[in-house]
Amino acid sequence: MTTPAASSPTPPPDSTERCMLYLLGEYDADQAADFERQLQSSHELADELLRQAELIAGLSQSPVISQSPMIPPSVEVVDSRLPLLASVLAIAACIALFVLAVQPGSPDSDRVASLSNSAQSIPSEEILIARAWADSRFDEMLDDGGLADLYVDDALALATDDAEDVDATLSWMFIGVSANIDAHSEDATNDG
Amino acid sequence: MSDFPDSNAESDLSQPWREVFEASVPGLRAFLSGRLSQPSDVDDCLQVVFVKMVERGGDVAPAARRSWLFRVAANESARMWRSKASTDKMLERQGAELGLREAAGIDPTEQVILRETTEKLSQAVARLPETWQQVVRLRINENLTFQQIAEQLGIPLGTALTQMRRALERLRTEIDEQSKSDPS
Repeated sequence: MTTPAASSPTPPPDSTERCMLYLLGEYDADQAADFERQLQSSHELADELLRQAELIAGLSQSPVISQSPMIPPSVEVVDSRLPLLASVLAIAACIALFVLAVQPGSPDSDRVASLSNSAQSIPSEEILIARAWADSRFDEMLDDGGLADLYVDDALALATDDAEDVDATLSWMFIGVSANIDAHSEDATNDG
Repeated sequence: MSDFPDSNAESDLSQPWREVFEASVPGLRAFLSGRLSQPSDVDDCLQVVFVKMVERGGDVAPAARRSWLFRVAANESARMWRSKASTDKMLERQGAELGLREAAGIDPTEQVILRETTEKLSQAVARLPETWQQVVRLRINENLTFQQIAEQLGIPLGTALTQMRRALERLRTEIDEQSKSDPS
């Protein structure tokens, strides 16, 4: 039981507070003895003491008081493991997202794969366009009985086989230029 | 302590409980002298309180032990007063040891009343302002002095005392009002 001496508050005239301080052991020996002398002669003080005693004893058995952890506002209790746990969870979440994204067969992986191939698909489309353009020119030349087969084949081979090494965006232009040269030479032949 | 019965359970009694009881005997005697006419009855009642403390006081929070002793003393003095109305010197007839054991038994009616009171008290505590609840918890549950509570909460000592006193007053008012509205 606590028995403060120097810091003990002076007994106030109020009997409620005096009973409370006595029951809680806040009085020193002299103060307690003085209170007990008055208790022997005062029924009112005895009745007040009993009421306070019933309240305090009941409070100690109340779950609201006895089971609630007391956290004063000035003291913040922070679990030191929480930041570490949050970091681990964040890292795990990132790894999980990455694994899901690159997993074969998943929609996300298809999207990622299509995005990664987009750089290669653009030249392929240009080659296809060039090939179609060259084919049309080739057919036109065949129809005209031209002799530009060799140039076209070479140009197509250059555009397809070396697509990864040579900038394919230029290959169809090369085909076009070659075809133009052929056409001009054909015209010259016809004119000549 | 030698004035009180030697009990096997006494060996299990913690030293703090003994200190509380010994420090409370003058106050208990003064309190009981106003309720029991004979000094021998006061001594008998103190012995019953001691036995009850040994057998049933283990769960009482340290800050509430003196209050618990006064509550038990009041109940036992009332029981003895009722018994003396119909029988003379119950403890002498039945033998001191046997009488003490029976008196220390758990009264079912008393248990029901205590349980209901505790429930009402819990509800009333929950309605107190949070700052008052903090002071009550720190004093009753944590057994801090008011000086320590004031330092921990950063409030003046007088404020801590006032909040505790007002909390007790409000709790008693609410319990009394509930008892009037619900006499059962």
